[in-house]
Amino acid sequence: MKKIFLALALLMGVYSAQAWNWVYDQATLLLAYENMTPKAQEELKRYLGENIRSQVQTFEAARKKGDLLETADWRTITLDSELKPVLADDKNAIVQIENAVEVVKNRASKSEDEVEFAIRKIIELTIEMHNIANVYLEDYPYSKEDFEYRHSQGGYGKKEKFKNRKWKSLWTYGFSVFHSAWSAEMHVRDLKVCHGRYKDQYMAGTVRDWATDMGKLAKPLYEWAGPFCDLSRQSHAEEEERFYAGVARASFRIAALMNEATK
Amino acid sequence: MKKLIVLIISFAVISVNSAMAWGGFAHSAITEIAERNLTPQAREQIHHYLNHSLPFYAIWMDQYRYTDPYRPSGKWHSNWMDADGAVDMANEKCAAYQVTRIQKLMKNYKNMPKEEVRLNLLYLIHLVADMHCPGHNVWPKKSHPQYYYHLTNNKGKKESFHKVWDVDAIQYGRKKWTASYYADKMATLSPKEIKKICKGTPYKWAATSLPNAEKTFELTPKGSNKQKYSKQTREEMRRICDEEAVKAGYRLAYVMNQIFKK
Repeated sequence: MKKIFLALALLMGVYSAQAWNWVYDQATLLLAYENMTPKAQEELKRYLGENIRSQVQTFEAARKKGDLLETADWRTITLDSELKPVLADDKNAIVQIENAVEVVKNRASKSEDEVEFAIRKIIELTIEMHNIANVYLEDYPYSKEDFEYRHSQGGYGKKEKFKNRKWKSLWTYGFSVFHSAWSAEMHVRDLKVCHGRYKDQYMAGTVRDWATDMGKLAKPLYEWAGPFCDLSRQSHAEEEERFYAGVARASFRIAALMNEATK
Repeated sequence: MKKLIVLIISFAVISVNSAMAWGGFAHSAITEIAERNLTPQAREQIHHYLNHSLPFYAIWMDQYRYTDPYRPSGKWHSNWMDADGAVDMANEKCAAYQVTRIQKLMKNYKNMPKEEVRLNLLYLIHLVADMHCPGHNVWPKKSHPQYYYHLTNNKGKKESFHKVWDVDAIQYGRKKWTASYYADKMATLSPKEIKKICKGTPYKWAATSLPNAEKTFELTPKGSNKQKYSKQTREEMRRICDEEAVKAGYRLAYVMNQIFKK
């Protein structure tokens, strides 16, 4: 199973090469790994292999091959008007992550494949639930849609020009454009500079608390964002900080989950 | 099966790296070299003021040069020469002038508002790099070709001289490189060599870069086909860019270290 996922992950590099989310995901996992207990690190490597940076986006790679299609329904979180998670069924990241943690906790009685799959769920779904594109706020119906917005192209001496772009793409790889030559290690260093001091705060709480936290991060955005909204240069910079805040939270929380599941 | 895996890996690596934009590459590489050469004191202060590492703001000035209230800074990205062909330190548009001005201003950073310190750091991050770009030097029209002339490509279309030197030259044969890999490979000078590079003022740094800048006109003359430069020409273009980019990285660190020295 490990080999299949590794091959799929490498293939993912081909699919997502134009999007830098692969590097961001690598950075997330590398930073998470740095913050895991020795036991969690050992278990991660035992089940996923030594080359941990390749172990990202394996579900997406599988889906592109027509496998694991059900995982597409597990990526999102929905929050009510009080920003409490809506958990009508198990088609959300919260329940799936909670279940995965239980599997890893009880790994002695599980098959190797089950544990490996659960660890992948912890990594990939924690990343997904911290992507603003996957945070749905019931009070803001647009948060669920992949609407078009107007992206600033700068002014070049004249009035600022805008181009229509897709909203979900912005939150998936749109912020990587200005850092396209960065290695995952450069992102890790930067995440530590701007969010390292909040590590304990991010790692505390439960998956449900974290969902609410992501709702708080997303809510101010949807107070102004919607179809054909303008994203100026200034707003782009501000939203990049919001994007980064999600990446940092995901990194530290993957570590928290793995530490909890393996203690 | 082994062959298939090798193929998949190769394809994945090539694809990932082809996504890079090299305009940002040189700036990211220069700031990466600088970040690695900061003193602990300077690093702590910079991270405090910027809330990010230096590479995060590598192209901030390019992003905001046409946005109010930063428009005036849009004219500071090149070195301008006077009638005698020397770097014109009386010209406010000159990058070396601005770097010198900000260096002086920042001597008093402890008494400046945080936002002002931050803005001046953002300027330095970009301008120290830009003043080393071989294509960022402007001479009087009578003595030199202007940097905004055009080259061509195989299809006979116009290609910017400026873009070839800003973006293309440093990337010849290096499409797989990240900024940190560049720093690993290129920023290998000894402390003694670094000290020698950093000696002097921004004016002197700009002046000593002029021979390399002059070569740009010889290597890529007006109307030449950018896709038909010989291997030797490309290697020389890349060598010039490397020489300047590495100096820029160490000097940016030096400027920052001087500002925040104890």
